[in-house]
Amino acid sequence: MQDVAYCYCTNVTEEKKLEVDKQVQKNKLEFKCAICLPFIGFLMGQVLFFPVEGLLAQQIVRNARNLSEPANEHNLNKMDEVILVKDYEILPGADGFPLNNNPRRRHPFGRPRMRGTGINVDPPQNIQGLGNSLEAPKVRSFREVDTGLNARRGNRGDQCPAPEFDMKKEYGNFIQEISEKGYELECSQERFNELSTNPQTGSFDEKSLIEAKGGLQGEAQGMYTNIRRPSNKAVDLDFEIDSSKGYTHVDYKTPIDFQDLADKKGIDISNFPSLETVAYNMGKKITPQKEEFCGLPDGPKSPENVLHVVNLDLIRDSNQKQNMIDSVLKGSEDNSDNTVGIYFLNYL
Amino acid sequence: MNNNLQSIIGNLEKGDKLELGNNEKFSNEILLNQSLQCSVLGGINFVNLTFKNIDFTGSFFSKTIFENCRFSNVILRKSEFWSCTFLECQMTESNLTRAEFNSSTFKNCEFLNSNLRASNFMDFEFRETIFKNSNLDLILVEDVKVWKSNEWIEIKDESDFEKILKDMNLISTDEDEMENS
Repeated sequence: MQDVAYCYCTNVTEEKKLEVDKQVQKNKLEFKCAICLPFIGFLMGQVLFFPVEGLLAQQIVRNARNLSEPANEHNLNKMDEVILVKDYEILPGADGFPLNNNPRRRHPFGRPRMRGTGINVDPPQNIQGLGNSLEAPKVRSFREVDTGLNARRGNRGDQCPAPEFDMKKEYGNFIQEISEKGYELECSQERFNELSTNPQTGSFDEKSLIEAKGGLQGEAQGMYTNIRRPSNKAVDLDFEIDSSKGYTHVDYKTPIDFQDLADKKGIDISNFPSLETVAYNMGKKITPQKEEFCGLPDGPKSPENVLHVVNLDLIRDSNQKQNMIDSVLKGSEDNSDNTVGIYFLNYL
Repeated sequence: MNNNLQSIIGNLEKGDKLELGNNEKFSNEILLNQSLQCSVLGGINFVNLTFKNIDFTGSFFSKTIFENCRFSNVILRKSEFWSCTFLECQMTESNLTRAEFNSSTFKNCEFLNSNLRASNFMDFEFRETIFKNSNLDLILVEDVKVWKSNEWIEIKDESDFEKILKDMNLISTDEDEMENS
């Protein structure tokens, strides 16, 4: 094989580089056979190796082994100091497997429109603050990233950590906060847990917990009833709901207060957009987002069935909250001439 | 300032989120197996970093530069990116569903087996970025430009986006490659 091009890890000595050169030469034929024979249809004329700069030798070897296990683990164990990246392409047998079932279907039930049709304005909902007392996740177990691609993976063992929560404590705190705010809510621990579970992964996580608390507060306030996670995972909205106003799904937005971060953590706020800008863009995107999942099985039938709730719980300053409401509505109006289906939570 | 990101994460107390915003730079690190949901990062420069098995769900990135970074099995679902630049980055087996990109750029990047379903791109520039075996269903684009033959092509809507990228051979599947070979 000619024109073998590769670079080295950082902090590798010249002596080590020579060793790598020798090892690559020694293994390249063996490697090609190991990779290509089981997948002869994908045989490639030339293989380039690019060890990733910054990776430790052990890490590279581990990656190489992980990536090549499906092809021939035994043979590839002999590889050393090389990562299986070919000129920005992962080799077949690693991450470059063909997909069994690549869901490249776009807009199967009709393409969403960027601009909505004329709909009426819903007034903001007057719901008072929901104090989230979130605990940082602790690594409990590991799970695979679900990219939703149903791809054959060379690195099937790769996993992301699943956070652990004390759900009993989370539930108790939440019920107490809701009660202190004067709302009545029928919600068992089991239901709270179900709503706090990420439907894409089946695990509790921080983002889902924030959504669940906002969602339940919306229910307690009477925005809708029977909030639940979507029955069809492909309908990637936060919740299904029942509503006398025709809403069947709801999606939550919970903007961050950068000034709060600056005050508490000393973070340079100039590195963040203004909250008005965030809110304006949020408003601009809400209308097209309402159309994204329409027509899917168990999805909204039309954009009018999708409610967006902007939860301003994290924003401290009440004037800032009002500015954000104005900006969200202006963004939505500028994009689609309407502000229907947008509610605000904790806006005072 | 050039700290070690791994040690910063390791020093996070229970209840803390990763919140950085003071023009820090992190380079030549490998970040493995971390749940960093709802992180807030502003003005950060990541150079030659490998992110593997990292969960950034619901995170906020602003004025952040990712240069020559590798993302493998990384969850960026429901994350927001504002004025961010991805330069020479590779995303493999990663989940970017419902991620929102605002006023940002991908330059010389590659997406492999990644899921961008229902992600949003607003005021965005794609320059020599390819998507291989990746899911671009239901994406929303507005004010998006793609660099083609020394000029910017403005994308009108989602159908244009896919067509232009396909015409430029920037979107492909293994099936496409089999047909071409």
